[in-house]
Amino acid sequence: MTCREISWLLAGGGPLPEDAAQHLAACEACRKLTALGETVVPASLSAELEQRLVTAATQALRPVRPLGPPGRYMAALLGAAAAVAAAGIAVMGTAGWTANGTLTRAYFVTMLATGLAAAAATLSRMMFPGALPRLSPALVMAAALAAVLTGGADFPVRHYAHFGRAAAACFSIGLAHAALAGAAAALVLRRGLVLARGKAAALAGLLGGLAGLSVLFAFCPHLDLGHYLLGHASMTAAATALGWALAAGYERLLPRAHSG
Amino acid sequence: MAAPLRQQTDLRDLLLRYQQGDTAAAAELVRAASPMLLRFCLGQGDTRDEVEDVLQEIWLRIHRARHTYRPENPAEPWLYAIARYTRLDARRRRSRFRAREVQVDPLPEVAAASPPDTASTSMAALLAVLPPGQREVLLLLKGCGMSLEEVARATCSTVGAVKQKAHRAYERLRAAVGGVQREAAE
Repeated sequence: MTCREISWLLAGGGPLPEDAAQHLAACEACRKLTALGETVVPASLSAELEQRLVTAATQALRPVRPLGPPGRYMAALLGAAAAVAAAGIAVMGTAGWTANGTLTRAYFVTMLATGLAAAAATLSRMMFPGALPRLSPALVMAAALAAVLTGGADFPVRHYAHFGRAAAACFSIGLAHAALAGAAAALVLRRGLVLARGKAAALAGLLGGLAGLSVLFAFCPHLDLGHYLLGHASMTAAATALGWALAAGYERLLPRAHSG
Repeated sequence: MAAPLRQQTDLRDLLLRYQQGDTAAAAELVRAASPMLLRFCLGQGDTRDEVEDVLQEIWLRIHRARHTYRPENPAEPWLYAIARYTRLDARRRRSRFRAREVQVDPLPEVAAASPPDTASTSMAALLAVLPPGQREVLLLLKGCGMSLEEVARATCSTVGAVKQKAHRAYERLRAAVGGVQREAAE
């Protein structure tokens, strides 16, 4: 048995096998590492500190109802994003949906549904401290933004007179919907205790961005790569970044406000 | 080495009674959980004074967030997750304030800082060579006796990532311990 194997066994947390004893007898470094957990003895609190802590934990103590299961909040987050997207599509129309081909529609519907579900599932688990994350928030954001970018692969490159104005209009429309959906998500998240606020805010921004992208996909008849990348895909990335920036700004301006 | 089942059950039971507004259970929970939270913070190199302030903040946050505990989840990762983020917030706040501080007068002489807790000095000294993330994982695994899954829950990470971090921490510690041995031999 080698030192490296001992490290893996120790990292795994399980008991060491019998043949490790021979290695430990010969290797002082491994013996020290094995004894690491045994060097700890309980830390003690002074009576005064203990009383202060009891006071902190019992002030205005009244019964509280535990939060419902994460699935309930995932449904609420999805519902909020879907409501914003549906309202946007009802107001703006469906010219883009009609202009797109079946394959493009299938790609975007699958991508948007999967992205929204993954963002909502991850966010809902972040409301519960100590919940085992099924997906890493960073991975969800990276995969969703990559899928949004890939969506442009089907569009041709075109040049037309009001390119910049059209892209700016789509960016603003998408971002307005993203802000609405993101704000609704923030209201849901406030019910729990989100500890990784930056990641959660970015993920809420992504959720909003995907809701905005749904509106743009249904409404926008500009089927060209430049417009899609500038007006649609960058709006989704901007919504994600804006969510993160808002959380960072909030923490900087109000360092003690989030202690609850 | 997972947290003893008896302790887990006790903490879960106390947390549930805490949610129901039982003051005696809240006080008992503070007495049962505070030493382990204290050890967790001390093991990461914080001073005793800093830890005592943070500990009070941790309990305030636990108090306000007690409705977020669900009985099907283990209690320790819930407590450590809140403690971990509260401690990180406090550190960030301290470093921000220190960066803005301007000394205008010579500092008065102050009494010596409270001595480090002998309970955790040997482990803390050994862990000091590790980067914060690896130190935290090893402390939770070995110092707090949690399983890989519980550490993953407490640190909002995956079991695989925790195991990888722990392995890297052991490799780094081995190099450090080996270095000490070589120096002693020279």
